[in-house]
Amino acid sequence: MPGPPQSIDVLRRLLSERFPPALARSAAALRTETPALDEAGGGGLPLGAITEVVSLRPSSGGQLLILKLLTVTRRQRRRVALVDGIDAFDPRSHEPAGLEHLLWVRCHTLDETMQAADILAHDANLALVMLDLRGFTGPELRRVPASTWYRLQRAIERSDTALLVLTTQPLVSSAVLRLNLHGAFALADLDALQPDLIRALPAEVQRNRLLLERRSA
Amino acid sequence: MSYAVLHLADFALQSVLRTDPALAGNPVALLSDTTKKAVVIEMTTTARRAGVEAGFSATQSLARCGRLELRTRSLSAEQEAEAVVLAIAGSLAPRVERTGPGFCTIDLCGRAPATNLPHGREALDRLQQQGLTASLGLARTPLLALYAARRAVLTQEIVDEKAFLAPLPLALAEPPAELAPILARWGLRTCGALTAISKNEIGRRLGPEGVALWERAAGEPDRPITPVPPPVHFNAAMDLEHEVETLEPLLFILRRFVDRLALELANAGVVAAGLTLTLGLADETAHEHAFRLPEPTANPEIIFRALHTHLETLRTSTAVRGVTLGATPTRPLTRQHGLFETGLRDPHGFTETLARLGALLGGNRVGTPASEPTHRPDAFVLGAPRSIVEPAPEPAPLPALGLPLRRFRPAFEARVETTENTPAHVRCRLAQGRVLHARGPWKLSGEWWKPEKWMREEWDVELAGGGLYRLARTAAGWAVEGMYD
Repeated sequence: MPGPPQSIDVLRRLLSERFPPALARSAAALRTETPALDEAGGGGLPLGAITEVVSLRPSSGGQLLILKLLTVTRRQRRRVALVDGIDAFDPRSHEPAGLEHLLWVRCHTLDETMQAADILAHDANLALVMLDLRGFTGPELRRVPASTWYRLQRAIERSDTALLVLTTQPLVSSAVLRLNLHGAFALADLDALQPDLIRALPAEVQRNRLLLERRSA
Repeated sequence: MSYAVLHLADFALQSVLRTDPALAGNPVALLSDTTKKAVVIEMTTTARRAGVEAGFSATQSLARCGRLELRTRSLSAEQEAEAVVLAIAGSLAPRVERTGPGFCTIDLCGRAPATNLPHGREALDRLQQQGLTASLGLARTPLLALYAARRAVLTQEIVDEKAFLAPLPLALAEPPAELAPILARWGLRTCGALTAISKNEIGRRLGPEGVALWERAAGEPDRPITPVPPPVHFNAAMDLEHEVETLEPLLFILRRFVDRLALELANAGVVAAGLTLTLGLADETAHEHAFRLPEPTANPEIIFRALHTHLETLRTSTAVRGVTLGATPTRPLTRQHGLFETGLRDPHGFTETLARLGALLGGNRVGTPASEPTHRPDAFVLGAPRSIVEPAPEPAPLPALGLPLRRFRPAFEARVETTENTPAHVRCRLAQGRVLHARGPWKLSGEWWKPEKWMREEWDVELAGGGLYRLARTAAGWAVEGMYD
């Protein structure tokens, strides 16, 4: 038996030796064609893990990100679920043919939203589950126990599903990747081409556990 | 030629016990009927050890065993148990006879003899899983197999017939009542003792009945069996002795139904395309629900999951008194998926997910959005998700412009100050501030020929504090309809 680990790196190495599949999974990703996200996630949204995108300001591009993910997954013919916390998704902002792969779950309360996310996290048919919690207040969101997030993580970690949580403040304790959308679009941007807006999406990585895992591996 | 017989001792009692898991391990006695003159006809080992005997009245039985649970015979439970036995027997060979209560004869002709015993043991295990304890006899004739089953603890295969029959009590050959005392006076107590005398001698002394008894004692008569026709309708039903108010006992019974129906479907080479569940309620009404399975199947786990998901969210006005489950048979699907086809990986799982979401939110809040043929804002319909995602159409030559809308349902009422008919300041529960830039108005109207005609004016504004919003002015006033994000 090896002695007690002297550092977190040793502990990680020990874990990777004993449970290789748990870390090997982090290599798989759902390509998003969104530079900010693909770069941070090592090729896309990590599968079997939670990614959190925090919209720090109004009109910072969270919905644009959803649109891009819907477009990419539609082209890949992969199924997507959107758990819409306050029922704010606007189908008319999208091409009708681009939504054929979408399961839209229109919630009204936080309880409904979290329960629906839990149900969908257990479904093996979905490549991506988007959980949109924007619109709930900070105190409401803080009432979600941390165990709920770990439960969601446990539900998807053995699957090929990526779980994207959209919030207005850092919230998800079990997220392996957290991106902050810190910019704000201007009225003139309504005339810009969507691919240009996606390319210029102002985002910064606030947490990247994938990087740590890769380093320790 | 080879036959097997499945024997279920105390069949009526076992049929009742398997429907009520709470009775497991308790002393239980089965009464012949519900009248005051009812007597005990069968009892569990624990009840027998406590002194309860067949023919006792309910009072006498309770006097012997205070913890005794009394139940009455249930015809529907016996029919269900018999169907289970026939279904499991049918998985061994297609020709199966309903020989009597607790007896089932199987014609094993055509089977490899070496597999009879191991497969027979598997059948006993399956019966055990269904709450039925049985023994199995294997022999050359149906009668010998019957003797073997009655004598077996679990399984018995007769290889040396004479050696097997010799020590058997003559009572097993069921001597007629008038012959029994004569045979006893002669000292003939075993089959071997009787068959040691020649058949002619017995015939001369005891007549044709004696000859028939001699043949039975020798295991001689080889009769053709009367096979049960294969089931055409796949139904299971049971009247419950006690009303059920919670989910668990109902699921317990349904699980038994599903296992049996799945076996019958598999035996018949078909699968279930749909299910019909009927719950008879205490107020003489019934709850009926038809399920359409996403893909025809005979997998009991999938069928049971569909029922479980439905019942989890079901509230009935009164307790349940009876359960009926029917399966609609169809041919199994033999379609090969295309190499690049992206159908559902787990169609049953997806259906269950939709059912659970529907139960949580209501069916009109889950689905795939599709546009409506109108310019009315926020007009869409929610449809059922498609089973196969078709290839995406070619993208438009020019990409779309701008940001998608994040729509507020309902829109936030707003107070908007205007300068030269242009929004200059917005105040609402969501956002407020000076308008930095504004675009509009975009005047929209439609369906003027209908009572629900609409007319509005829309503005896109950027507020000084940040945020792009869509304002709408209607007859009701200003509102913030959404945020460009």
